[in-house]
Amino acid sequence: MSFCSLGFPAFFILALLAFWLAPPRARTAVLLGANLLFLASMGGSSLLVLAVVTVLTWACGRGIATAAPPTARRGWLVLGLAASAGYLFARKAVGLLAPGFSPLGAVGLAFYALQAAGYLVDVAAGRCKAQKNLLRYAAFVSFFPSLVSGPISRAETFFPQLRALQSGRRGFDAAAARAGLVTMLCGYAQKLILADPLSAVVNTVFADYAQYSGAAILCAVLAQGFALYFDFAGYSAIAIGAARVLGFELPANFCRPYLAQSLSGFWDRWHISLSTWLRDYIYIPLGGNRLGKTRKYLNLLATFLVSGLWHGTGWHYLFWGAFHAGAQSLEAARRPGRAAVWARRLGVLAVVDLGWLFFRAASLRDGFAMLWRMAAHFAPATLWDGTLLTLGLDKNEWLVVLAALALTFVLELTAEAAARAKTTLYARFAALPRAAQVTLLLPLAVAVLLFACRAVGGDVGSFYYAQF
Amino acid sequence: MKTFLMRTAAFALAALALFATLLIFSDKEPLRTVLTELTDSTEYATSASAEIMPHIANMQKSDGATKVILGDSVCWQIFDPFNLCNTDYRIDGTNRAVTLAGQYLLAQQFLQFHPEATDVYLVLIPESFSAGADEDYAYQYLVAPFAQAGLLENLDATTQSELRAAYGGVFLRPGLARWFESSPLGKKLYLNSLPAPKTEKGALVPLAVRSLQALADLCAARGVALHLLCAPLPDTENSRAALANLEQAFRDEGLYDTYSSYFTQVCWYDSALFGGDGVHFDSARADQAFFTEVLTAMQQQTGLLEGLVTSY
Repeated sequence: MSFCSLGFPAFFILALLAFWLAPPRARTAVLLGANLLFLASMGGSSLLVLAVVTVLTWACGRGIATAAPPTARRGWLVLGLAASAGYLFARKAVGLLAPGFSPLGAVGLAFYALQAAGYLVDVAAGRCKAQKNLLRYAAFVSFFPSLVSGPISRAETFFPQLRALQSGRRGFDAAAARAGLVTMLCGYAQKLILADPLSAVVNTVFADYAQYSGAAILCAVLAQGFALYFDFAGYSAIAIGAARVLGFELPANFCRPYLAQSLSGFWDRWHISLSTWLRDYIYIPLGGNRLGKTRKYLNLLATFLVSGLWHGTGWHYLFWGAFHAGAQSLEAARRPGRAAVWARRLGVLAVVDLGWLFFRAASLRDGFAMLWRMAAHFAPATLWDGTLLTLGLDKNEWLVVLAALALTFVLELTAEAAARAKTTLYARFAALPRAAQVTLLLPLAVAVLLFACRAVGGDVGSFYYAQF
Repeated sequence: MKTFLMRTAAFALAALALFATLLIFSDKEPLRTVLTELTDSTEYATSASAEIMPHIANMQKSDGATKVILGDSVCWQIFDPFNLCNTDYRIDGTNRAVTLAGQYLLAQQFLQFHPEATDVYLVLIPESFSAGADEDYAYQYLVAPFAQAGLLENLDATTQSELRAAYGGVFLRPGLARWFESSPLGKKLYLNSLPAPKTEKGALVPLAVRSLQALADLCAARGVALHLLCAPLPDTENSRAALANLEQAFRDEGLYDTYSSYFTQVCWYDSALFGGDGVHFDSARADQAFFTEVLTAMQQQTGLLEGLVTSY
């Protein structure tokens, strides 16, 4: 059951009613039941892998908390990491070295394995207490809004919220629920109105790039950058919004990444929950930037290679990771420039989009071949001779997508300005009279419903990051 | 929480009502074109009804014809070139997706509007007997056009009940069927929301048996001769196997004795004369003179189709 499937609204409403109408003490059980139902709808094997990872990492967490000798604690930690992130990365590495051979995978494994591994490290480091209650721990690992594609939660922020909800200290908050629903609606709009039409362009060109000019490939690469952003940011917004209606605050996952003025700034704004996980559990334990410049660059390389491996089993993902490590090292090594804000933003966009080319290409060889075509066969005339209308979108669809992109761009700039004023775009929206809010939201809701019709009979229900 | 739920429900209802309003008017220009493109429903804009409804209209013309030739697309390919030079014969081959239920309805209309009718010819390849109402194109070719013409109620009770179960009784009404044909968005949402039907399998599906029986009964009641003819077949192992399977199915249903000539009077042709699908004659080679030969051979083989004009 994807967020975009017809069954999800019905499931979500039922889960919501059951969660809030149940006595506070029963909320963990209700939530866990909803989580399992959600995952079961995607296949039994996913449920099995989740159960094994959950029980093993919970037991290891208990082991770390109760074992006295440091060696025993370390043993539990290693065992727990092997059962979570270890299995995940071993699975990816096997797929990389032995293509075609793929050990048992599961929906959401890439996300909850990191969540469980982070929990174990935090328990070992004393940053959070080991969870004694298996049901509560299982509800944390399998939390359905973030199960398939994150955001990757931290135990230290999730369990206090669950405790507050279970004790009745935190009850239903209409304002938070309203904010959650609006966030969900915006997430659906990003996914359905922007990501899916742009993906049509990306899929058309990347599937058969040799038939297209460099200019068309450039368009597809730009479209890929935006499609990926709106797909994943849309998913994250739906997840964060759904969690908010249930009374949980999940970590932010995106913060207008294409307005970043540096590559490091981009990674502070893109897939934030993964970036911070990699920073806290890979980069800093390796020494971070405390051991000199050379070591810092090596740590960056290691961290981004792990990120590349996490994203997929192709060499092009590793190259993408190494590319970003190299680019960020270069950025850190040079003196800060005095380029204008928009020049810096465009520079970041260019580098990031170049990275997305290799990220999305079917292989490293294809990535370089596309780059070569862009350089050697650019053929700028294809930008205005009608070729763009053969890339999966017709004239009217292009107009709608470009208008939606322009509107989103204005909204992102407004949100950026709001952030500088220590507020949020939503806070400004919520301050509007109720009638104005409804007037703005109703057309958006109808547009979402209309664009959802595009999904009927297709595979638009899938989210790009769900494959990792 | 109650207030929040009420307000949320009110908002959702308002959004759905707005959406429904757009949907209702999605059959009218310019909204039709805009919504069709926005919702990626273009492929639902083409209507098979436009292909089938003229055949229904032809059946209802009082044109003095006394004989009708119906059948699948092979029938259409070999008979249609002589449509204009025949006045005694009404020639209206359609295709396999119409199913035998559709062929029955066409024949029924012909007989209703041609009181002087003497003969009904049904020219089919063996594969046409395996087409049920669950096929991919059954809605487009059987349900939509005949529902718009208000003819589905002329089918037998079992078939009507199966169609209601598969497509929903309310959607078989002429007005709604017409609306779906005019609104690509409506048709897209409707067709994709239908549950996967139970597939009828076999060389002779129950729908075909019932329809053939109903057609025979109708012809008998009107004193009209029903002729079931096999369309020309390529002389291949597959074709002979398909015919043998169908023959066995006819025997199992107790229909063989009535329609044995379908199996014994087949005109076989070199498979090289057929196109890529192995069913239709290669249109690059087959011209009017060739089809004249084919029909002459059928006349000789069956001793039927008397008076059919095969040249201009």
